[in-house]
Amino acid sequence: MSIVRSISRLGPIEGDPAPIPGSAARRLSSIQHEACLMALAALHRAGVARPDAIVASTALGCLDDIERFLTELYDAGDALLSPLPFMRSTHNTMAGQLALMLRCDGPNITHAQGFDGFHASLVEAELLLNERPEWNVLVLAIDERTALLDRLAQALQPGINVGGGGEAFLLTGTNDQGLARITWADSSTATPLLADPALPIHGSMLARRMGDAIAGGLRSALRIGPSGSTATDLLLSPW
Amino acid sequence: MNGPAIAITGAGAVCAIGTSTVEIAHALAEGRSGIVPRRIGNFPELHVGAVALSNPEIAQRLGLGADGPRSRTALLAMLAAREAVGEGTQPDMAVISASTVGGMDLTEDLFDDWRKDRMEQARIAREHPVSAHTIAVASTIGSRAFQTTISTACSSSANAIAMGARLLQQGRARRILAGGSDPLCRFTMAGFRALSAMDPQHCRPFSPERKGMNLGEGAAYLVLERLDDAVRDGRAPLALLAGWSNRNDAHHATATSPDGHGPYQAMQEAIARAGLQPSDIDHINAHGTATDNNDDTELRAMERLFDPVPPFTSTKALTGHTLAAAGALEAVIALQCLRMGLVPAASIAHAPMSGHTAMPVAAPMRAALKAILSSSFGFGGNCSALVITRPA
Repeated sequence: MSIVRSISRLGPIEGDPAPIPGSAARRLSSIQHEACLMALAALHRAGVARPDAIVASTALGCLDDIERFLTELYDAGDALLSPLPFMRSTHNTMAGQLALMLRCDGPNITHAQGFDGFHASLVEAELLLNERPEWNVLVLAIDERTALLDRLAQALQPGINVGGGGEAFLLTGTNDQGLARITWADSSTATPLLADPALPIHGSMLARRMGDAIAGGLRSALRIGPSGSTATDLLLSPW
Repeated sequence: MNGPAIAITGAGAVCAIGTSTVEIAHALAEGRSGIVPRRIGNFPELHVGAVALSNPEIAQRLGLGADGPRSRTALLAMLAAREAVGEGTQPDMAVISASTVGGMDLTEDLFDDWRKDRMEQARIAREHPVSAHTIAVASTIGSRAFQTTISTACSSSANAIAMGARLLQQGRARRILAGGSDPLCRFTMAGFRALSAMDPQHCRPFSPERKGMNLGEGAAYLVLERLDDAVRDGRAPLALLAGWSNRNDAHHATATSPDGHGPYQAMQEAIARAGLQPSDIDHINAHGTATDNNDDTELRAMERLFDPVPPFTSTKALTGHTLAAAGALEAVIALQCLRMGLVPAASIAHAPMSGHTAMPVAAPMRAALKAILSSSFGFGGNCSALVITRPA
């Protein structure tokens, strides 16, 4: 069982922990910086200084740095390029940076499975917490939007509303209070958790929907899983 | 916390030293390297571990038509997955695959068009996400079960294997296909060149003269299931996946801590999970990228954990560094070595590294092997290790 202890959302975060110092923040890409702020807020709200494991999901990863490095690759010819965008282009850049910043030497995983990556990250957290219920596992979902992503998406599907965003949750396996609980869904026929069709599409939209559902006072259980029938579907239940 | 035993009941791989596990086993026994000088893009000639098949040749082997854009990542993955699974469909087999760049081999060709708003081939962007190759593999084997893609840089497919083991132990899947795939592409070539992490000559893991890695490409998959299920259904285990670990070095984005904290933790935890002592490990397939930092810190961690350090090899000197595929490829290599009773060698180290006494194995040698440790580390401080043992 995973117990949701806290939630935070990408965006301006008020009344939460001190911002990341300028010297450290300057080396971070925008998606890294945002992921760190969001994660720090979720930890702060749960009163946890350092998680035992970090599980991230991102559908498309660090698009901005990938585009920067490809631009250099085309424009600089054979010249030796700056390695920074390459170093920050891997999908696990956010989870890796958090491990470094929080000195978290436990499991560190990043799932990248489109809209279903967030479900996979909750499965990963559940697997870890079933082994170590006393752990605190930071689960975060984040995707960024770039101008080129917008143009490609429009070319593929005119009128599509592409966004970006993120959500972080602190989960634990045993606690006397929480905001919601997550268990294997098994034979439950609960309503599936679906993205809000009114909101822009991005890789982390199911994470946002889960945050909304909990913040809105979850009244009945919701099923989380791409198929609605597999052994790995999860059930999000009110506390 | 050891839980039910996990059996490996299938394996498939493609890399510079072979397009099947049988070919790879032959190359290992001979100590034959697949690394060759090659020009890729506009770069000066570099040594790389390229797979001997072109994309159309792979498609032909798979019986695929020429239609549709397919990344080399997906093609390599489908070839290795098909070998691991065999013929037929596997609707209940979960697929956990790993890649660092996904369809970058296609994206990097079209990026210039796209940034200039020439969108005629925008559909190829659908191949870009790292998850595209996983979906292709699942479709190839007819899986309708759980699918995910793990992208934790060069430890990715070791982590895919570890997640598969956990799903099996907790009864959330009956059979798992776990592995990874990455192609040679200009993006990673330019990236590791920018980091000055590439040896323009043949790489020299654990040698005082090492100057960096050679990139490789490939894909590798294991079929995992619980040993009791395999035995009941009459499938002989090739080996056991006895231990696994995923830890973080939490030191630097792209370099390992001087004492190898993360590598030490990962190796130690994987061995403990296997219910073994460090002295039970007969051979280590090291991460051994041949970069100055990795080999020094990795061996430092090995010297702290083992006394003495068992015979160790970096098979990246045979295959090149296949990035996300490396963990699974080296697990397949470890599996072959365990079955053949072979400690592979790839070494061109003529002396120990400064500050060390242990040296990698110099030539392939026969030995009775019961337990092999395979390590994979990566950007973001990722440190993973697997322990593969002979079935009792």
